[in-house]
Amino acid sequence: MNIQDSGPQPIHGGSQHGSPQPIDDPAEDDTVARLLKAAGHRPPAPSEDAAIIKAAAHAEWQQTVRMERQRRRFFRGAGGLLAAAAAAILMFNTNIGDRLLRTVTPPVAQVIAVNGQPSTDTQLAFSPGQELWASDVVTTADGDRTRPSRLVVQMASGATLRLDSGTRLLMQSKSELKLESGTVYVDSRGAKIELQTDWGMVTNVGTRYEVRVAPDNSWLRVRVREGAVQIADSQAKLQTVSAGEELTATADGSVVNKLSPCGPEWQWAVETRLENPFDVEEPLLLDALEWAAAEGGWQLEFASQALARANAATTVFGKIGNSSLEDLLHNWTRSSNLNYSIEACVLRIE
Amino acid sequence: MGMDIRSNALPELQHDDRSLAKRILAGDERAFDEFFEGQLPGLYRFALARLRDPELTRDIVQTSICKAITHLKTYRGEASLTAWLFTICRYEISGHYRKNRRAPSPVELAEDQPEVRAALETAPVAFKGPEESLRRKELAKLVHATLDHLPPKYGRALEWKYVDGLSVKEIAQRLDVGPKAAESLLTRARQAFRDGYSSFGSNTEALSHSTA
Repeated sequence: MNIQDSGPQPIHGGSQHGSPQPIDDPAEDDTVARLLKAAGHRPPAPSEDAAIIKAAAHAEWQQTVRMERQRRRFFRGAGGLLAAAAAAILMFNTNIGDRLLRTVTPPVAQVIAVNGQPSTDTQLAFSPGQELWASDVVTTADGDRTRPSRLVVQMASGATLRLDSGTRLLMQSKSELKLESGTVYVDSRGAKIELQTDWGMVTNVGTRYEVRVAPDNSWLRVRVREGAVQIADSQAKLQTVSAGEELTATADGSVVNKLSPCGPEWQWAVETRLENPFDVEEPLLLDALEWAAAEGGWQLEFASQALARANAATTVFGKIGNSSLEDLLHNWTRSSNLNYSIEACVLRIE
Repeated sequence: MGMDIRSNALPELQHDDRSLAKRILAGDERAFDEFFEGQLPGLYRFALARLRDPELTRDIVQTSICKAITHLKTYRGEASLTAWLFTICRYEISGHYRKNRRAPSPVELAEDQPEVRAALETAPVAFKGPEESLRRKELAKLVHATLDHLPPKYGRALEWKYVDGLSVKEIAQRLDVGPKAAESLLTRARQAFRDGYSSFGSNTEALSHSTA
């Protein structure tokens, strides 16, 4: 039908004066057909844009699925704890209020890995699997590069926090914490984390960053690896630090410098490992490579789309132990008859 | 009186959308593809019509889809996934203009009128009278916008039938359902299209009358 010949057709029958009323008329189907034919195909989204959007959406989806699985696993564990806590109340009569509180409120986080020497204060020693509640203080011992004391904590929201040596962190809720001193590397995994410091509130807009407060509280440093964070000072004045930037605030003001996402600055966080970052024993190669790329601060790139597609169903051995990222990449790519190279923060698979 | 098919068609669609959302969250790759391939084209056109800038459209659509995925577990199925996604996109567009401290270019779109939006968000649902004097280009836009607000498989099935001229059997094969189910889907799709299109038309007419 040429729409110019007959003009647009009303779909409903009834009077053309006043409110037209819809009627059930088989002829209306012809009108639907004519309208659709006249309008033709809807223009598609440009294929290049569609591919870019799909890649981003796919990455976001995978992260959401991972986070959701971890959240479920976390809360499945928390269920068992309620029974244990109730039994504990019967056995001990000290700190009843605190124990009772823990039976009726879910934990806000869980220690998932301890790296290096434990905290020197035995009262504050932590072990993997230990649940943390609001008002708990997590500390690490004053270690150094050769003898570090580090912890990995997973929040109930799915975010993970890596604490470097000499850190004191107060848990306030599943999304709010107070960094009293030391260094925390945050992998927010899409969750919002509000990290309070005496210098202001650091809130993530993106996903990976590090916050360090000097032992004497004389300065604050925020390094952003991916995404962005916002820092609100006591006057609620906002400052945004974006990926590849490092902000240092002192009593004299703040400075922002450039920072590589794959530089040695991140080494301590890379060394501070989750015991098992994958949900399954044999994760997909693509998931493993994405994890490694995120850890190393690299951009993952395949030599061709065909190569990525050909390996879409390939799985690898997921236990990471103490292997370095490079060793893991070597093993994973070799077992899949692939090679990898790292240059200018790009992890290339060919 | 308008025919309201919401009572029999929408619960089924909501169930489909809820089930799709659950499968996506469970890590089902096919569900992700179904969601993305079904929603992207309409969402892209929706944003482009309002932003008129392809690069910005790409960014806004990408952010909207990513946000939708991140918050998918909060989707309860009160509206269709399409309507939910369009709402997120609409917020992103407003946020963009707010952040850049400038008002959006005046883009008159019938589907942005509150009555039409409300109706489309519960589509398919019955509406009143058509616009009779749309120009050809406007009509095509209106037809496309109507299709974009329908559940993706309704829009695709109608295009296959009336633009590509596929038979019911061929459509059934593409949808991976039996011919009877395809025929039934086409009937519901036609009804939803009629209702949605008429809503656009009557609203445009009302607007032109009120500004005359």
